[in-house]
Amino acid sequence: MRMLQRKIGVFGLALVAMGLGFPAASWAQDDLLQGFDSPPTVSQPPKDADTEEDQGPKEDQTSWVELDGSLSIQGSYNYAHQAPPPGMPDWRGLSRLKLVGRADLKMTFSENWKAQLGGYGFYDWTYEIRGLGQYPDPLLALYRQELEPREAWVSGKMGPVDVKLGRQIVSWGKSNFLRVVDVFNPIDNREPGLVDVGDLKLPMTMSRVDVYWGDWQFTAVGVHEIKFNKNPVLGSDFYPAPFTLPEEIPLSNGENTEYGGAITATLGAWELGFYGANHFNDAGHAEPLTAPPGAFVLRHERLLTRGFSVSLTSGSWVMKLEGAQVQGLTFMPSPTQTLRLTRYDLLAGVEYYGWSDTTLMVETAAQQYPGWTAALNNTLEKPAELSGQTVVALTRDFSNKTVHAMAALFFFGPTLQNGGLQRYSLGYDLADALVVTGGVLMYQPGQPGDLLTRASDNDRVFFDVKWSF
Amino acid sequence: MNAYADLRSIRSVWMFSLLVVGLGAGLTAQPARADDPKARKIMEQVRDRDDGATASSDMEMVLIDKRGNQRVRAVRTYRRKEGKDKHSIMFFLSPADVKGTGFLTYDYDQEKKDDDQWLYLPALKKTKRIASGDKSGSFMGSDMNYSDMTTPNLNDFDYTLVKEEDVDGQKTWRIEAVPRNETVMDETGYSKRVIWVRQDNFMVIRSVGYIYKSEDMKFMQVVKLEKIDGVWAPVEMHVATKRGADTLHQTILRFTNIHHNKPLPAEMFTQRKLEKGL
Repeated sequence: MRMLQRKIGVFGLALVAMGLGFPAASWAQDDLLQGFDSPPTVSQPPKDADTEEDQGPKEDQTSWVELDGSLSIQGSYNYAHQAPPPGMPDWRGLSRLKLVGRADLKMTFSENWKAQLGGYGFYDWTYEIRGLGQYPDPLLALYRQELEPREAWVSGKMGPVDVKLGRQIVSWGKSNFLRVVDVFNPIDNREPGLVDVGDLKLPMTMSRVDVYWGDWQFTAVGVHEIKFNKNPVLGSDFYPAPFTLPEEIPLSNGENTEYGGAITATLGAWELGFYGANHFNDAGHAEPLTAPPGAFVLRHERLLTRGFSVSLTSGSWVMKLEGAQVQGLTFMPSPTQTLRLTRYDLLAGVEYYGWSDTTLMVETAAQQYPGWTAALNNTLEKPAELSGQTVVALTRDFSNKTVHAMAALFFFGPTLQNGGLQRYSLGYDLADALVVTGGVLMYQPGQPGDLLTRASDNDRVFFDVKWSF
Repeated sequence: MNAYADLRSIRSVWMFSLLVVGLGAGLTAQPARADDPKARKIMEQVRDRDDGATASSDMEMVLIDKRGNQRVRAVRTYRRKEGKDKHSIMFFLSPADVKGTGFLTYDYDQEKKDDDQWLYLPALKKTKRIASGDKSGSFMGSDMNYSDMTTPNLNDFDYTLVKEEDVDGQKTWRIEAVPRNETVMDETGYSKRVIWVRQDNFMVIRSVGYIYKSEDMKFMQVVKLEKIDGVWAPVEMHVATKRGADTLHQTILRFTNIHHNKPLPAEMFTQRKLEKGL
């Protein structure tokens, strides 16, 4: 081997010596100016009228109405799925082939007043291709097609006060992947690991007021629309149980309004946040009914969350810490026994930006119930006294940022024993705003009974061709 | 496009209207040489030249790969001096998949103090704090990196006046800048840089950067320079990454709607404005 390397090295040197094969490694100092080429000829952008005259900075000279959005074709193929039990859908092979579109009409009425009206929709041909008859109606209703309004709001600025009314998204905390204090907007969890990050959070109708005072920001939020995560339903390849629970969704009325407040500050390299929210539990709890025996109903109880976030930036590092106390979590071991518990959540994370064109993010979070009792093993949820999640994500761009690589690992359990998820993807910019992405998603089983153990044969390859406009 | 994958390309943005075509340079694998007081004096004058109390511009970048394929990026930028510090904010206008993204930077005069940087990602509806330690990453896929656009710490480099020579009919000083340690090379992405400074206005009009741990070199030249509102500013630039005589990738930068010393309120350079957008 060493001999071969030596031969290649000698051959290469010989080529260079002959002036063949490889260009000169660098320019001689005296010849440096000869290295500057004339710029290639490219089309000039059309000149705006306002470039001809001095009209001052251009902040407010954009069009008052703009339409932004995207169209994408997404597909996935399950390569590890097992044959289903009789009567259940067969998820082997093609599991997704859909056209996804979103559009946002953005209006700027003045420097201080803006509005947005957005919509989202998709149609998945998988079910027609594979035969509609094998899928239950609730699954088809949720997965085959969708058309719904997304963000729709009007916002205004009055001195130090900002007001935003309508369907919107509020993001609290510093974490990227795991949520501790970010409690309001539900997420689209129908296909874990496959939902575009821009479509992940679902907007809700809210009233929001922000007051700015120096480095401090005071936020008050009222949530008027009660909505919960979009989760897999019975029949989905991600739904782990052979049965489903009826769900009681609280009415979106004044009595049920969720509300909260935040105080955040930027103090040099430090950023602080304090949060409080009175809201419904997205996950809810299974309430056993007295009749018929063995029946349950899923109810969403009211929670009180109080939390904080801290981040510190130093050199190439961003370090983050979040914590929360969640009161009012309800569990019912039997129709006559109700346990109300408090849970403590803690998250630590780092981001590293010290490698060229590369970002590393690590987040780990733990949840603990100090009042945990063995009776909780008799609930449908069976919460662990201590649970945790860890995410490691590495992204890197290549070839002048036309190639985007990402590896993300999700682990569950305080010692990572409850399964995990690996997602590897590679994206390529075919043209401006036209990106094709392909990847693989692999699920690691945990212990018997774990959610991921039951869904661990969902390994799949996927692709996404997205055009933004 | 994944928002996290895009962080890096956007975080290394700074204020192009301040572009100085590499005042500083990366690092050196060469033996340390004595700093030349005359070269340092020139570089101090480059650093201290009047670039306006405020500045704003629209920037278009045409990125051209080896096969001639073109991509176009457009950004609107604003900058304001706050004492000896500089605050800048930029908004991405195109391509469509990054439109609405904003980037805010507080560039501190204190040598030991890191820049403060925030990135607003419209897909996440969130402002993220970004670390500014490394400056060697490509800026939006162009042939520029972050260190090409920031005012360097002159104490990180040894400067040598190589000679005086005419470039495009202008008298210039040719100065060699060599980083004083490995860390600076790693952070800036250059092991050495040669720069040409116009003698009449202290503008850097050309530079050659030796890419750290690579045989590639970057050739940057100001193609068009204008005095706007009493301040000299590059209007068009060309940057080419070369390996020997081969051009691997090149970028054409054009600036329009350039203004200096026009009123820009301090609240323009806040996270509040970053999230509100243009």
